[in-house]
Amino acid sequence: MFFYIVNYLFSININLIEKEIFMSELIVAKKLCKTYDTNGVKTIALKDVNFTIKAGSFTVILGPSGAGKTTLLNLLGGMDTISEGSLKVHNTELCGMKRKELTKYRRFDVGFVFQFYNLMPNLTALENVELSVEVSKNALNPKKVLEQVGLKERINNFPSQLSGGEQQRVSIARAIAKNARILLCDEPTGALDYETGKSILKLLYDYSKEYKKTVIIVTHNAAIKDIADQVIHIKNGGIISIEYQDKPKSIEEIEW
Amino acid sequence: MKTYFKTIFRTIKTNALKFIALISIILVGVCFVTGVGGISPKVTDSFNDELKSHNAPDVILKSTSENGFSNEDIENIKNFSDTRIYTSCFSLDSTIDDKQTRLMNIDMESGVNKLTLISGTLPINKYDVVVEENSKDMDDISIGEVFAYKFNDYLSIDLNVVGIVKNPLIYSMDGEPTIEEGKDNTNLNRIFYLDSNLSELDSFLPITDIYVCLKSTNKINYFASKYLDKVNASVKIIRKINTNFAAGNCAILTMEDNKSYLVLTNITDKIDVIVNIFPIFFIVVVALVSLTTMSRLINEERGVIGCYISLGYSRSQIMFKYVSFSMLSTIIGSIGGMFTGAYILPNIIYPAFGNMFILPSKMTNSININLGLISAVAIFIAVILVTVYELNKELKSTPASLLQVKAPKPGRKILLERMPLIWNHLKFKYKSTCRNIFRYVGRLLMVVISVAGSSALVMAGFGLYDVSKKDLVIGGITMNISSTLSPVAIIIVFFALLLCMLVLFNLTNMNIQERKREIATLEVLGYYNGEVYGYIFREIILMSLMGIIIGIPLGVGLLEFVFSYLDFGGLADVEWYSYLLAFGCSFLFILLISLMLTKKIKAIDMNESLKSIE
Repeated sequence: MFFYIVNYLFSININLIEKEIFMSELIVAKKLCKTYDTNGVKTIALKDVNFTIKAGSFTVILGPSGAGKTTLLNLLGGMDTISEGSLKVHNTELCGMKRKELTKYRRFDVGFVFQFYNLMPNLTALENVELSVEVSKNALNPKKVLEQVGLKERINNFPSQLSGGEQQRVSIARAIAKNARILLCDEPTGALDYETGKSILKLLYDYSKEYKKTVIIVTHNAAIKDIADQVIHIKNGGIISIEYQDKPKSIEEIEW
Repeated sequence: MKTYFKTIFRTIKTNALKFIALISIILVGVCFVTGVGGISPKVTDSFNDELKSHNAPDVILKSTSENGFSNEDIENIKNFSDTRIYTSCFSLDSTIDDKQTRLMNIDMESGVNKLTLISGTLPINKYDVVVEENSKDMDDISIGEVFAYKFNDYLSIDLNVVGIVKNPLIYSMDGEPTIEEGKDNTNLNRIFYLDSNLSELDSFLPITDIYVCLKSTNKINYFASKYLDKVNASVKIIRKINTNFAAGNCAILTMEDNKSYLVLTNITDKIDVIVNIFPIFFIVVVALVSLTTMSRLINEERGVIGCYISLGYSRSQIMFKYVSFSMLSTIIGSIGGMFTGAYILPNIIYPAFGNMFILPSKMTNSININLGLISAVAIFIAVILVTVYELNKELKSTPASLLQVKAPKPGRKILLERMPLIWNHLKFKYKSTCRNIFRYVGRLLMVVISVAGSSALVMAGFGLYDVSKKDLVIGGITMNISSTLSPVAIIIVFFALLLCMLVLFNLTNMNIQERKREIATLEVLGYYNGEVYGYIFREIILMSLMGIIIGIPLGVGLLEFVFSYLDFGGLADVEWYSYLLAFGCSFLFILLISLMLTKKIKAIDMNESLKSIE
């Protein structure tokens, strides 16, 4: 009897430890592969990619164009199916998921920030945020989030009445308001000028640190990597190196 | 230059769906117009061929005196300058044993109004007769029968029935009315034809009728509008030849007095009224959709146009590319439409006339594409003009601004938002739908007008179908024209629905094409398929509904207009369920189109959302 109790307690303990590990390693990619088949011509876009991303970290995926960034982004965002290997997000395997399951994953687990903002032109800033809030479970108050990103005065403006930086803020607010685990950003500063780009980066960085949310930025801009906790360098469909930075630079320090 | 021509085909290839949609809409429109426009000519031309080949008389002189016409009268007609061929005969309508009977003693070798032998033989012996196939009691008379014909209480002859014939003048299904006094509008039970060459009754029977084929109308179609004018001009002259032909002594009959001719022209006139009103709607809708397709195509190709300008291509060279796109599609659509319309539709409807008429042995090969040609030219001009207009607008801007992305039309507040009582209670997705609907007023009008036009046609088609069940009274004779008119109504409904479908397909398809980015974004945001479909189709369905709601009363108005011109039928004859049916059918087709296009939405790649705005 005693034996059983000890064993039971022990197993709980092990489970707790395991959970702790998984909580800290939110994303685990093992031998991740993606091949495209167009009319019988096979193109390998990603080959045997291994990496982990810790929960609450600020990660930059860096690489030149054609390296496989977009493919990786698509896989992480649940926008495309995985050909081979494993990609676990919060202990859920994405490989082999059906269309509908992937949609659910995007709906509840990922917030997406686009390079070109992709706001609905006929919806106001507030309504654009409501658009994503409508379909999520633990969504935040859209008005408050817009206030947080500094758009309190602009909530009733349409995208065409906003500057590029403001539009990107709305886009970020839309992603944040979902209160998802991961914030996935595709070249978030790509269409913006230097100063505005920096302020957007700061917004994303502060959000990650303040709310302990995982932010992943996919970019070709090497300057951004200095502020990241972790930098994944990719080239030719594979990972060249993974850098961990214990003391990342502040945004004010970086330049491009 | 070679590369330049290549780009024309590339434009067609990349916009294949638009190209095909444009062709098919024009094809369906022109096909319908050509087809319905060709129905009456097909029928009348066939009857004309039949009447011409049998030398049906243009004028029949009927003496009102007991002695009939004299030899001198006949000689006068023979010498009349407009007489091509003529014949004289005896004809008497009387009631024998309560049956309306006509006896004719005619020259069967004259070549005028030639009888067609259906069965048996033509007369061989003195009192052999052939009987008219198309008479009431035909079923009771058989070859070999002997019929005692009483002229009066003292005189009767035994007529031997040897054959059955068809008189080219009698082709209305229920035969020919008697002209016996006091028996108005009673049809003949039987008609006997004696051959005057054999019967040797000339000395005994007077010449009552002279049949004349005129020279002046020899080349003119019996159903042409100027035909009766020509005949009446000759009649005026005949009246003056001698006193026996003057008004009191002689009746001069023309085709206007022929019952079969009267019934046929009455019906073809009615069809022509329908045919001249309905295509206007069709063509307006087709033209509108074609215009939109072209103007959107040019808008989408702004970048390409800018590229050409910066490469130094001249305006006319750039024009040529897009004008050839619209020309090619309009020409292919028009020719295809005229071809299918001219051959298929009239051939489908033609047999329906067999329920009311004894159709000519041979259907005419001639086709009539006048109406189709007019509408094709109208569409052609409209489409080319819009292409040039839209291009001019783009070509005026500098290449630099063309290469830039045209800013999407900004969103704005709509009127409904000023009514917080309604607006604040609307669900978010309906707010977005409402705003989208009113965002592009031009587009909204396009959809509403097109759908209204098609559903009006559907309504009118159903209404027409209902009234065709009514009896039509022509010259005191009651006829049932449902068998002839209802196929026309069905074809109108069919084409209206087809048009409705194509219009919506085209407009929705363009809408999806333009909003690929929005759709992809929604997918990335984790919207389920059903939610995305709702986002796109909700507004299209709402706009179409507006169109139907306007279209049904429009159709009723159209019907009323048609009825007043037809001089037949009325709204009271339209069944209550036809209104529902018109609504239901139009709506069903809209849903079907949406269902078909969900595939297209499903196929949109989420990567569209990552692309730069081209």
